[in-house]
Amino acid sequence: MYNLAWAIVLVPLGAVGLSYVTESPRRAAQICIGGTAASFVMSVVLLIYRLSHISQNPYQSVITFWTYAPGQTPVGFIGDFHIQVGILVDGLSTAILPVVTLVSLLIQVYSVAYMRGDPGYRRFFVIIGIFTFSMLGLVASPNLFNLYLMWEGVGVCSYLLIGHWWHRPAAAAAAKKAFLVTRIGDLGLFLGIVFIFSKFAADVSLLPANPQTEVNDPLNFQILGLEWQRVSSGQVLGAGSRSLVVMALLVLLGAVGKSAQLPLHTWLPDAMEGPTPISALIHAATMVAAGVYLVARLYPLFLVAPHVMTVVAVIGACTAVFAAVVALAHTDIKRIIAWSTVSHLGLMFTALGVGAFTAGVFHLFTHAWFKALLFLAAGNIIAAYGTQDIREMGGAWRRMRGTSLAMLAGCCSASGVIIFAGFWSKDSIVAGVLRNEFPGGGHVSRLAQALLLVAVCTTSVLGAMYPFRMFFLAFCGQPARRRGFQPERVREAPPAMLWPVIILGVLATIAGFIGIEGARYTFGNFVYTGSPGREGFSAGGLLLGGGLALLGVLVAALLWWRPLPVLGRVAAPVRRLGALAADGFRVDAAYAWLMMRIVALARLPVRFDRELTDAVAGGAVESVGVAAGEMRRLQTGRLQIYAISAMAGVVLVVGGITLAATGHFPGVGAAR
Amino acid sequence: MTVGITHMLVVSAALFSIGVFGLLARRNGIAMLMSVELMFNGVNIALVSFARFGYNNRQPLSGLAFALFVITVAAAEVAVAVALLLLAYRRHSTVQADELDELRG
Repeated sequence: MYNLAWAIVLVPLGAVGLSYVTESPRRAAQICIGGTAASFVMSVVLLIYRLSHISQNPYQSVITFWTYAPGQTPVGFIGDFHIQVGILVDGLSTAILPVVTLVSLLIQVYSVAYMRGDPGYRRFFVIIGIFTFSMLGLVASPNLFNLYLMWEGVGVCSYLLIGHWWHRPAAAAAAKKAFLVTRIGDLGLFLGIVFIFSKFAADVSLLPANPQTEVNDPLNFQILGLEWQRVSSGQVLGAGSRSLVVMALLVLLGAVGKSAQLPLHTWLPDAMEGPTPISALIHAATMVAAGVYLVARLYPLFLVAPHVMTVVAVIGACTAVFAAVVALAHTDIKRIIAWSTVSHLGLMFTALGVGAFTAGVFHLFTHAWFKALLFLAAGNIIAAYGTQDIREMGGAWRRMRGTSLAMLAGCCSASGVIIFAGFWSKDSIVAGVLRNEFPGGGHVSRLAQALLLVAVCTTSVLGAMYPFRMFFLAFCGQPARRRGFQPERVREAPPAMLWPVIILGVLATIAGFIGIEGARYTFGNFVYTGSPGREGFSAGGLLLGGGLALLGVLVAALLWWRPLPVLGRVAAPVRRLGALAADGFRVDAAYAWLMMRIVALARLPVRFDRELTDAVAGGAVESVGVAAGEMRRLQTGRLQIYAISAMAGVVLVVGGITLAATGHFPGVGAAR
Repeated sequence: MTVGITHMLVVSAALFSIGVFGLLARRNGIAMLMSVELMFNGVNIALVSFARFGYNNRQPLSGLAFALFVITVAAAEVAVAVALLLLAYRRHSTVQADELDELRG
């Protein structure tokens, strides 16, 4: 039964291959959608099966593709190296698989209408299929090698999809930026994998072989879980707590790059240049979730390196606040939602960093629904109004009731308004920061906890303000007047674009109920790979998170819906900050400046080349020229002089030989 | 007085030296060519006399054969050289060596 996961991962890829059978792009799209739908159904079946067999051990099935130097004693650190790919079925992967497949399915259905008439229609669906396959493979991967493979696949597909309209320079640049910035993180993950392998390979080869995988792969998650325990208790030669910290930091770098956390966040807002369904896909279920998933998957590693846990939490909290402020200043609807993703991912990192594993994964789960919803609803309104600027929208409530209702649900969910999905997950994050306790014991320092709490509370308020600012400006009030735009022409999106939005709206409303008490404990029990944490109910978190969210909604309403003059005056000085914030606090410019400095360093070798190498080369050429100029004077053009030289040569040679032969030179020729 | 190898070699050296002098002193291409022929003949007399006076008894004909080769090659050389001079004359209306100095560096 667990081998169904193979089908879940491979069917979308198979559908992509099959889609080339037909000539018609529309039929190809239908085949791709069919593949994803089948995958979704199977993943739900798998989830139900796993839920009913929750006490069973995680199942894995691997195929060994290739073995390097089998059975040899390690030379250097690569001895017995097996390349295995496969599937791992445990709570975490079975919980995420349906999310990925369902979001991908709804987005593909949406795209059928959204991308109609696009010249790259078939390419679009094919790449989405491969994207889905990569993400499913990443979620189900049983070892770091397979995970890294799929990790790169996700990166490539996001590059291709962000650059779907490659003929627009902005899209091409955004695609390149996304690829290059995440590459920094990928390098960290790659180095981390190499480091883990080099530290553990020798130790793992001593262990008895695992019956499920036949051989001991030092990158396998099960074996790694064991190894980390052994390292932290000092049983592994040549690896100690410092090695664990280095591993955790390198892996974290990968996660930070993929999930757009603070130093490497700049690619995500630019990724808005892709088509809107792609933004939804990247932000909700695939690309950026991979980073959080990586941290969750390697959570035991972070638990044995507790200082890195603090780093995770602090990076997440800083990102959450930073991105929320920037989101509040933007007027481009897609960029607001993009920055909101960065902020929510920051919250997930914070939750994971303070030991609230369940809360982090739970927020990943709910975030997928409401983020996909926000993007798809935004796609509807963008298509209706023909602009992305929320100041030029307005009044959509009356004309696009379905989209507006779904959008309202999404905004409530994102803000954490009581009852909606985001409320349960956000409140569990606040509760996690309040509780501050790692599953295996230990905690973040009290000072850091206080700062994290402030950050999370700030994010709760701001995180409720910016979705509702967007909602009030774009959906309430009157349509803005501008040239060439007739408000009467605004009408509801076609059914293929409306239904996914409504399904997601329902999910964004009710998906949080798995997080209520009792059920949430089951959720935590289910997804956590190690021993379950005690993440109980916390009235404090509930009241704090929910109250602050409502406060944020209230402030947003008073500022942008029914403006209160007093608040407007208070807000006026803050507005000046807005331009700066809208620029992302000039982080891009700072990076550009830094890059220019690095490029300036590169001028040194250029100078070396120009002034030293060129001088040497030029000097050689010139000296040959000068020598040739001197030599050419020998060529007088006078035949007699040539003849005299020839004669003189003959006389010299023949005379010399004669003299030598007759013994006139000492030691040469005959004696006299 | 019998004619010995010394006499022959003196004649040979005289002919060769006259040839060298003519080659170096004359500017006319045809005259230079004739001087070269004199040098050939000087060398030929030396070869023939060495053969005649038997300095190589195991191969008594080698000097004669070598002389014959020299004559043949000289004939070929004259044919080529005269053709070259003819072309030079057509092009430059002169065969004076000091006027044909286009290859001066």
